[in-house]
Amino acid sequence: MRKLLIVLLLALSLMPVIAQEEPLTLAEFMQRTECEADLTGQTLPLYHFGDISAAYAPITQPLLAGIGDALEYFNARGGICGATVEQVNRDTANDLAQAQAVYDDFSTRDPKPFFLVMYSSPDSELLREQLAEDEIPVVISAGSVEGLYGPEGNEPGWIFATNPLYADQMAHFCEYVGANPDSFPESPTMGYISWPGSFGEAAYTPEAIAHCAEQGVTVIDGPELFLPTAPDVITQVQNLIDKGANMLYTNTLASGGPVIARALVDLGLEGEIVLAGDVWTMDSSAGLIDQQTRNAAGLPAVNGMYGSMPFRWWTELQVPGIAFLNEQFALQAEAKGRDATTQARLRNISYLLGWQTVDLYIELTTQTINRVGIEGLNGAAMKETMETTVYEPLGLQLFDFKGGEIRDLEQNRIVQYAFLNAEGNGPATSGDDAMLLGGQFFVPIVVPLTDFQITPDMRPGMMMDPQATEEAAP
Amino acid sequence: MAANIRPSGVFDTSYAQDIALNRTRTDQMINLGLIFLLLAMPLLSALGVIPLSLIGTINRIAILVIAVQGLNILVGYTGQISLGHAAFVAVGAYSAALMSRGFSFPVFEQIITIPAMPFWICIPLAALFTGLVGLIFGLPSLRVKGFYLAMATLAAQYIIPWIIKNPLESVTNGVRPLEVPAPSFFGLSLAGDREIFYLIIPLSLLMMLLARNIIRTRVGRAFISIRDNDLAAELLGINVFRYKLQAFFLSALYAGVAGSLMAFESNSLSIDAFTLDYSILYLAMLIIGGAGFPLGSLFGVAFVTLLVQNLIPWLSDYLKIALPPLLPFVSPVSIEAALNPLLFGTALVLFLILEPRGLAYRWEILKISWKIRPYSH
Repeated sequence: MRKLLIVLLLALSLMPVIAQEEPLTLAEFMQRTECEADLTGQTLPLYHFGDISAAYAPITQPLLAGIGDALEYFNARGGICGATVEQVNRDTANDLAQAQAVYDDFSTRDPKPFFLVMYSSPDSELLREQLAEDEIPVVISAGSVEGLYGPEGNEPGWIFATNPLYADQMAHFCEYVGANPDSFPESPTMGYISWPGSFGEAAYTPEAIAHCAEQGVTVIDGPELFLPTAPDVITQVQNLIDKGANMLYTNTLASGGPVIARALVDLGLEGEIVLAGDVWTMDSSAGLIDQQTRNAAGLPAVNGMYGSMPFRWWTELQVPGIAFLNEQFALQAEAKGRDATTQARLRNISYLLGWQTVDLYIELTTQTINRVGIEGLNGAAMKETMETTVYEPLGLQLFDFKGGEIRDLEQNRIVQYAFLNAEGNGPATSGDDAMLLGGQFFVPIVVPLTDFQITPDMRPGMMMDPQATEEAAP
Repeated sequence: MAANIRPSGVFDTSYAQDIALNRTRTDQMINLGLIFLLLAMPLLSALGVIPLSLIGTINRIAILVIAVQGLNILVGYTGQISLGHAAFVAVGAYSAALMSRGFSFPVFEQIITIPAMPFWICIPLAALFTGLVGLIFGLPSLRVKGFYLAMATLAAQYIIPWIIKNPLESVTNGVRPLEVPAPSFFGLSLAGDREIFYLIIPLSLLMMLLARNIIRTRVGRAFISIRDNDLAAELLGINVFRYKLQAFFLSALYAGVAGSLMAFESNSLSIDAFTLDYSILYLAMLIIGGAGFPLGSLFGVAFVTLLVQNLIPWLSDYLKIALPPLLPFVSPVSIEAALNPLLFGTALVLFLILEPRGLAYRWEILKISWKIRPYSH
């Protein structure tokens, strides 16, 4: 009897071990290529660098969290062909000298990186030539013409963007205004207000301005600029209004929209002047940065702001990838003890991007290894895969660089910024019927106004007929 | 300070010895050895002894040393504060880039075309042009000083980038990047870090040597007298305004050389790299290194660059594990982002408390202690 008890106890103690040996599998909806090699026991690096402590921080810190969470998930399920993916990242504090130093460090490592992830247009413009020389392909969440296509706009380089060019986004918004005149002021006149520098002024191009004019949107000559640290932009807003602006467009990160929206509220013009921006302006952190300045309906000032959204959003639960990420987000929060405030801050575009970047990296690397073997895995081979592969990481966004013809993804949606209502099933109409998270935070959401569409091509010399814009579901 | 102190038992016996840069045979051997080692670094990198990224880091340090040495002439030697130095570096960078590309501009309804020039013409011309721009912004120094002069030089930091971005947009690309052709010397391309090292390092050494010699000349002594007491200097017959302008010219000339090298080293220019932040950073580097010491710029630039680009990232790997329990008020997600500013800021504050006169001052103390050994004072 005693022996039997001991045997039973031993068997019971072994059960969890046996259970743990069951291999974890990917979620069913993930359509991954089967790997033909076995790299178990090896490590493959995922290099990425950019500003995580300065102006880009609100948007890039969740990216880090997304990448970290995704790596945990995928490494537990075999990584890349059994190899563990290890992230190697550095902060550049929005300093080009530091970006250069980090690039020098990464690019001279042995073995040389075969894939990099970067975050900003200035970095892409600085390193464009060097990346081509070193043959290192890059995935970037940015989109200046010069960074992706060179100064003349006709030399696709080694940098591939996860979003449309900023100039394309502004032109797309103008098309939306032209197609929906009833929702916008008569004789739409748009003032450009943004950060100084290559990112902030990236959308203010002659091509985008001309395209807007074709849609009936006049863009006021000369942008008004403000520093990312500026607490108040009333002067710049007033200057544009004095020149006749009834719409404002900004190409900034999440902090840009709120400061402009606040100026409009302070000037008592919130209902009269339309505010719009690029994809990063629409990030959820925009709605969290300033919730104290409210419009007449009692909602934060950015409520109603228009913009681009080439990605899927957290609330689109009918998309399996989004449902999966909502679930993972909650699981990770529990496992890591993230509080509600941290969760609210992380729940943004770039957290989703972090996951899809890791998934994309694993898929591209797997395909490349299948084609050329681990010994042939290098930047040139990865670039070839990137150019020819059509893939939807986690089903969130269609990666199709048209056989290498283009370097920015061309699908985009026009969306509007809003806050969740108390029932949690749509946008709030006022502060009274809005959901308050923890009794403090309005919950930002984006409301799609269009389906995914092909954006107009605003590279110099590439302007296309606006009639050619077509509906295209990803 | 240390220049006047000999090792125990060593005496000068001639005027030549008194003014020599290397005042003992040991000095000479050490300096020659260091230069030889420095010039051998690209070869060592090619052999795999040192990483290539170190060559890039040394290149950038050497360029910044020239820029900060220019600021040292103005701030450290002459006592004139400047908050527009990055803008002068931008003038040098863009003028060298444009000259190396060739460009056209309209003058009285005629188009003047400047053909592309080799880098060895671009660098001195860009430096001279930047010096002249520096003269213009030095004019307010006749009437104002201290904080007011700082505000006047701040104007350069706003006006110059505006001119580059707007009126000159057709040639500079405005806010968009400007590509710079890789320099070549008699058919030999200097595009790579190892190759351009042999342009940057000798030029940097030469500029350092010139800066050191400047303070040993009549002009340098006039600068120092203006810094110490401009009224007394004027009473001694020194033309204060003239020398202040000379200091502005020299300072901007150094910035011009640094900017030119930046353009040729990176092969791409963006106005984002010449903001007010950089002007303040240059000033911080000088103060950390030791304003008024010839080696101050080298120490300051090396300290800040190595701290930010090497030491902090190296420490980050350990600290991002160790810090979350120590800093419960910072979200664990943000720890990594907090490290850079936190460590850099802490290092600066500690440094200013412990060694407010700069690293070069501490270096001089160490040298003196060594030379007068075994005596303590």
